[in-house]
Amino acid sequence: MADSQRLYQERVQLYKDAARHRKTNRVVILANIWTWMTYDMGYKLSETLFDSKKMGQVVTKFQEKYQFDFFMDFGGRNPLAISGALGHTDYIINDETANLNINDFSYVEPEDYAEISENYTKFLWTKFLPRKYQKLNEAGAKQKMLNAGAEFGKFVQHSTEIAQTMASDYGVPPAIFLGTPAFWNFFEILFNWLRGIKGLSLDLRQRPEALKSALDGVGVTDFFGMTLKEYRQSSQKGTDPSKGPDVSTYLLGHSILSKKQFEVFYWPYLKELFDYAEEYDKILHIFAESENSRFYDFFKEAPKDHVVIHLELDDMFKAKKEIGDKVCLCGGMPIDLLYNGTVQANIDYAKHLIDELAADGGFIFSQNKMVSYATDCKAENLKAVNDFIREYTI
Amino acid sequence: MVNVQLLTQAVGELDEDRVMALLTEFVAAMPTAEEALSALNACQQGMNAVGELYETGEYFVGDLIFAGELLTKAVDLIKPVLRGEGAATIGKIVLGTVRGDIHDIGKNIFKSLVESAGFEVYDLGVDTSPEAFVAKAREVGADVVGMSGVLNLATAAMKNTVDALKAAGLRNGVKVLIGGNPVNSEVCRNVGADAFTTNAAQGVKICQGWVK
Repeated sequence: MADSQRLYQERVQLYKDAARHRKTNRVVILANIWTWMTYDMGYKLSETLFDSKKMGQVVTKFQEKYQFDFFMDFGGRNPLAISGALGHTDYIINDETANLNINDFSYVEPEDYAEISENYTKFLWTKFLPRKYQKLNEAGAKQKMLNAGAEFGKFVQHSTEIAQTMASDYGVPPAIFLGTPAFWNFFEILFNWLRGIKGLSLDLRQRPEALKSALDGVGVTDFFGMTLKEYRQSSQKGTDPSKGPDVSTYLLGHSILSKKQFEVFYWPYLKELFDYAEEYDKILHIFAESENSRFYDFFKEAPKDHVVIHLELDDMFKAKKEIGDKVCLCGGMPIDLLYNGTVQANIDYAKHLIDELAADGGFIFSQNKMVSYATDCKAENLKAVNDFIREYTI
Repeated sequence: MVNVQLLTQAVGELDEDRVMALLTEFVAAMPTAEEALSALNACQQGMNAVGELYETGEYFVGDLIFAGELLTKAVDLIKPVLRGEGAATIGKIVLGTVRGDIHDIGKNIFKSLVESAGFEVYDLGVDTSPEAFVAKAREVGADVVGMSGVLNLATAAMKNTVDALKAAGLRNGVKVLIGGNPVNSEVCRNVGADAFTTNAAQGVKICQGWVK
């Protein structure tokens, strides 16, 4: 068996063992590295975000240097060429700081919720697209749609090629973001793409029933509108032996919610994913942005050995104590330390994390924030930590 | 005369309908400037309650964003009858999201709360250069410079701003507060700020302590 194949299988097994709380010899290292890899490999965001071939070069060179087991992202998170073809993007690129900012937006009006609830697809085509991409209201709209379709095709092709190269040449399983079916509480789609943080904050107070009705109407869904309910019908029992997690979800908009609001606007949909993972014996990977301790009571309801939770800013030792061994914890390595600390201080902290959290299995090592900007991380620290972990026996 | 207790309670409970009904009725009754000031104070007291409920976890970020909007609407209603009378100012704050960062929600939440606590706020907006902080702090004689940021790169910009305040000879005359996701005690020390917070209500208390 080729080295890369052996590595691939070993990595998948390590991930699954961690998720199932089985003791392993070493921990899995998951790259929570996003736009920083472009900076570190000497490219500009303005090049790679519009050129997936260059992005592919970035990802493979990055893996040669750091040898991660898994990646959150193979550079596919911001396919700006597609929205560029439609004539608009909310993103602002700063090559100097490797900084990708986004303006707040709202493409949903309060009175739209009823329509969204009844016919989300119609809303997307008749309201969202013309509001966001205003050039579609002008002559040449059809050509713009065709161009965007062509860009989407290229994006899919290049993303597939990158994933294939990472698997065949480097033994790296599919990235969790885009490489694993992702299902979102519709609240997230509103928060991240349709209504924005301010609009949703007002809706939670001014029209909670309409908002809730839209969440129920659309349901837990993927980017393309397939609901979890539909996906279940084509699911086979058991975890996919070729991947780490079977499904993923992203908790981002929950960062504006109180515990009480979470119970109403989030928990029923997260529970749907928990129930799916348990019933079909799947592994669910959750990325939970920000600090999450007020939600631990809900996380404790996860089906044991079926859920991995990547906690961003949480105190991982407290999380382990409070959530217990219901879920596999992921994250922990502070990027403050990766940027400001010495190599030795970084290795010491990584060892501390592993000793405390991985002794009985149930821990995946990763960075505690999405590593994105030039000042998020120092290369020598990241490399030293990864080299240490690969050799460190639990 | 508005029932200040009811108004304070309605603001604290983020009951927009009740707040707007009370104030609409109040303004229609042609109140004196003094009465308008008392209504404004009632709103400020209500915002204090919002800050306290945030600290207990009852309210979270979305509620603070809503509270900021509610306060703006309430003040817009009261303003015309204040006739130039304003609440006493307890200090001046120059505030901005630092260079390289355009996130302004946390900054705006802090601004709403700190204004309602009686501070005069000079909001420089987002992506604010160290030079702009220095110029405004000098111009208005700021008591506090408040810097906000969400991105990790914001901490470097905060440090550059503190260095610029030092170079301009202003650092000893102002307190520096930093806020946002990436700040903690170590960042505060590295930046050279006087205090840090990830909690807008706590930030207001820090500022109040400084101008006592």
